[in-house]
Amino acid sequence: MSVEHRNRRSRRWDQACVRRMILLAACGCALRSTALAAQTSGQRTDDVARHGWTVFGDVAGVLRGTWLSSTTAPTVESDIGVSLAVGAQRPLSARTRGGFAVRVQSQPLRLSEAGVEWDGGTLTVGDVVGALVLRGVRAGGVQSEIELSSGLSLLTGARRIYPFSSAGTITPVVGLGAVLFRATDRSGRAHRRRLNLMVRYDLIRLDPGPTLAGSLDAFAGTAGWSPRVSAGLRVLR
Amino acid sequence: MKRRSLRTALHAWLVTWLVTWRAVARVAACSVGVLSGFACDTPSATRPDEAFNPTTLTGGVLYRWTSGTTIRVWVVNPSSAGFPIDLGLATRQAMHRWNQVAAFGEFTLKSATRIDEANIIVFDGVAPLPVSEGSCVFNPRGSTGYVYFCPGSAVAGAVPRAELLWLTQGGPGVTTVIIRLDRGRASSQSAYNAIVAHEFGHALGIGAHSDVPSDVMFGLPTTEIPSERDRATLRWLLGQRPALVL
Repeated sequence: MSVEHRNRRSRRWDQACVRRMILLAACGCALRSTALAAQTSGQRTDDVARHGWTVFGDVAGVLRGTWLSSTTAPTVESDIGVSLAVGAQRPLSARTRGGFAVRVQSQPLRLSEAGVEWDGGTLTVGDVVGALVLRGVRAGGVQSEIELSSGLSLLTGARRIYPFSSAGTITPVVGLGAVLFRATDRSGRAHRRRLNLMVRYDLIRLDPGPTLAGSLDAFAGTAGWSPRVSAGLRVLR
Repeated sequence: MKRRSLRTALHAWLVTWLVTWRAVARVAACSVGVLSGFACDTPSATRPDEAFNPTTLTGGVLYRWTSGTTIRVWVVNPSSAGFPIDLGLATRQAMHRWNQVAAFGEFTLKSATRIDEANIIVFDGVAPLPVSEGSCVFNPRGSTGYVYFCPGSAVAGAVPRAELLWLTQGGPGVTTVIIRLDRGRASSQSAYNAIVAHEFGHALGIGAHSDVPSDVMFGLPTTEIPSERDRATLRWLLGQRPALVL
């Protein structure tokens, strides 16, 4: 293959990537960097099966988050909670895997207004997501992966509390995650992959609509995406 | 070959995204926001202005329950034999309708299982007063509905609380509010429901009468469903600092 031909292909690749970036924005950048990395290094460093499904389980904590912020109404926040997940992934290429996961996250809700705080019950969210895992950088024997996910969330609990009372029971969720694991041991040999550190940033869409509990224009609801950060361990089998 | 695999992966990813295709643009913006240190927006809300002043009957004193309170309600003889009008039914409906106004769980009206755990006691005038009078006079003056509570003595640095009303049988309890009704003067269950809903509005903090006949808080109520004006007024006062806590 001539250098010119390679350059043409490279340009085509860049043009295609620009189109994808328009679609996927920041996510597209991650894909491109991974794709370029794939051209220079294709060596697998973990022992996840080349073919077939790998099952995993997550045990994580969900950090505090804000679900509704306002200066003239209560602020609705969730305290630290628990996130449990199971899922499966299979290789799509040397550097990508695809799969799915089912998650359950539970967090106590806390409301506050004018210096007064009160309990809002427990918010429980069940997620069913599809995921695409991209091999990331490797440093000092530690390999990273980027996990992109999207799916649907089922909101339960705290249904009397706005904005959950007016949002749909089933709502979209998207997420960006990072997974770290030891790829080699001290002697440089491939390390059997068991435990992984995992950090996730999920966005849940809350679309409370213009009405609240049958009260027209009483509240000005603004649809938005509420962030949710979780961190913990992923165990592969 | 690798690019074909990558394309396959990309296609799989896009198919996944199609499930939530509307999210793509939003997530792109959010991702950029995360990278640049800005959080994505969250829903916002604002309390409405009051439709009418809720303190005209109390001389400007705004009273309400502490935010987040579960208010337990006990009904004395909810369905007395011989009366076609059901006090228990009217009370349950009023509780359900007012609970819907507390969008942030500022209060939750629940039925009490015992009288000594009731914060509010509802009784019909044919029954004796279930509590002993507090420091203020219990004087229903022949009204169809009457809400009774007494301001307690102020403690330095704290918001005054309503007095605990001692049960006539069984000790102090936790009751601070009494709702007295007279079902003998109600023409129908529907009319009675409107009166009970009206009295619950007072018991939750609306110390006023509306001058609009379609409001539950109108002086002579004919509707049992809180209007937008009723809701707005209660929602407004739930965000105000009370001068008296029930």
